[in-house]
Parts: sequence; structure tokens; C-alpha cells
Amino acid sequence: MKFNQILISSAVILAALTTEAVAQQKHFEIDNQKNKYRNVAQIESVADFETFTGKTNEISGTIAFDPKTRKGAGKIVVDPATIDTAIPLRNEHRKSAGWLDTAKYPQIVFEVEKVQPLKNEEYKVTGKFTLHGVTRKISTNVKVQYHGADVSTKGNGFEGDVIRLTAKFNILLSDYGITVPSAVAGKVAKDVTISLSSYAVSK
Amino acid sequence: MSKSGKVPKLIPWIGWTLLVVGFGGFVIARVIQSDYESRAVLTQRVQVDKAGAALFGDGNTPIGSPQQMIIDDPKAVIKGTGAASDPRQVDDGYLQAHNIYPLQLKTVRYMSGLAMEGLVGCQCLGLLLVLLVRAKQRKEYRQENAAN
Repeated sequence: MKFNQILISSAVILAALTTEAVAQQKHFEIDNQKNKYRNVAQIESVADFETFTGKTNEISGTIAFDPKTRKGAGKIVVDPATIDTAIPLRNEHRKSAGWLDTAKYPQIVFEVEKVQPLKNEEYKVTGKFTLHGVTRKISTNVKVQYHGADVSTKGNGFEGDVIRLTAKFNILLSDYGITVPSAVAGKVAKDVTISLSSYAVSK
Repeated sequence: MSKSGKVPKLIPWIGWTLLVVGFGGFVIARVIQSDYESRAVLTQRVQVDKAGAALFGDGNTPIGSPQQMIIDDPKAVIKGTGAASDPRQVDDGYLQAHNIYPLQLKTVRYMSGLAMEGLVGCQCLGLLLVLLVRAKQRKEYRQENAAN
């Protein structure tokens, strides 16, 4: 009986602590309206002929983050149809069925599953990355910078606390069902670097 | 070879043309490549981000990785010497606004490399034709002398 009481008390305390930890996490939203052009998601291909970068400002998502406990969660969505490589014909090719097939797969998604604080503002983030309809688990280092709401945040157009997320990781296109035709092998790399730099504002 | 067994006059002419064009083209391609190499600077395209600088002390989001690029418009340059430790920062927004697609040195090298390979091929083919014609002519000359 006594043991049961201790067990129940422990569970209640644990639940209370967990609730408090969750409650302390602030909710941030990637600002894809007012500060849209400050956000950028990129895909870089380094091939023999050239290195090209496709980029877009069409990023959305929500992040839960507590700068004190350094815990967090979140989901980030990028619109692949808007990725611009600076060459219109290449943009069209990239959107086509042989490549990203943006009509069929209109979102690139990264969903956070686990956040492990490293030193300073660095975190090891593990999550599900979905590209071209294929979801794979990846781990990457993410820099999360936090700035509480004040005159400087307001002066820079942010209504609330601000976090800036910076991340970079490599993927193999074939892992996501995208095959680089041998005819363009010198122009497009088989592995590409995905990077993100984005601001989110507390809600 | 003609029906008479003699070398048509066009063949040595083609050989010499291939040799000269191949050599001249190779020199021109090498000079052009050298010119681009002298103008290429290690460059980092950036998206200017004043908020990043104001709030977090580090502004300007890198666009892609640093590359040896040829960008002749000085207005696009923000800062940087172009050294490995200090790549020249170029405003990507400015490049886009002015429809400047920066030329990469590796693209120049790739293209000139292909051109030079083709031109060396031309030279080899030209040399082969010239030598074959010479050998044929020498043989004909020896046969004529023997007959006389």
C-alpha cells in the first residue's frame, strides 16, 4: 500500500515537472509574411561543370523552444516548386517528374523528433526528412540563436521573441528516389547540400 | 587515294589546316582560360541580412559555398579580399536584380579543357594526315626513281 502511494506520488510529481517543462517552451512561428525574405532554404549541387544553388524564401513551420532548458521540437516545411536556380529552364527541369516532381510532392518537410543540446547555441537534431515523397531519418547540427523581445527586435520588424535557425546537411538524391541521368552527371551532383537559415517569432 | 594511286592535293591541305587550326585554337583557348583565371576571385554569395547583424552579431546569409567566380561589376561586392580565409562577399540580391549569373572558374576550365582536348585531337589528326601523305609521297618518289 505504502509502495503504491510512493509510486503514485512519484508519477504525479513527474507529470507536473513534465507539464512545467512543456509549459515553459515558447511557441514560435516561421515568419513567412513580413520577414519572408530574411528566410532562405537552399539546395547546393557541386558538380564538375559548375556548382549551382537553388534557393527559396517560401518556408513555413512552427517551433517549440525553451532557451533555458534548451529543449525544443518543431516542423519546417519548404515549397520545392519555388526553388530558384537563377536559370528558368533549369527551374522547369527541376520541377518536372524526373526530378523533384513538385506537382506530386508539393512539400519538403523536416519534422523534429529529438533535440540534444551541444555547446553554446548548437544542437544535435534528429528528425524525419521528407523529399520527393520519401521520408528518411536524419541527424544534423542546428544553430538556434535566441533574442528576447525588445526595442531591437521591434526595430528590425519582429513582433515578439526571435529565434534564428541555421542548419546544413548532405543527402544522396538516390536515397529519395531521384536519379541523376548520366547525360547530366557532370552538371548535377548525386549528393547535395541542404541548408536553412530562418527566423521564427514567438506567438 | 585517287584512281591513279596518287595522293589527292586536298588531303595534305586538310592535314595542314587541322594542324594549324588545332595549334592556333589551343593557344587561344589557353590564353582565354588564363585571362579568366587572372580575374577569378574566391567569392561567397550572400543574402544581406541586417536583422541578423543587429540581433545576433552575424549578418549576411551565405548562398551556396565559396567558389572561384568571375564577377566584373564592383557594385556587387560587399567586402572581403578573396583570400581563402576571407572570401569576397557578393550581394546575391544585387546579382539577381541585375540579371548577373556569375561565371565560375571551374566552368571556364571545364569548357576550355573540352575545347583543348578537341583541338589536340585536331592537331594529332592533322599531323597523322601530313605524315601519311609525306610517307606516301616519299614512296612514290622512290618508285619513280627506281623506274627511271
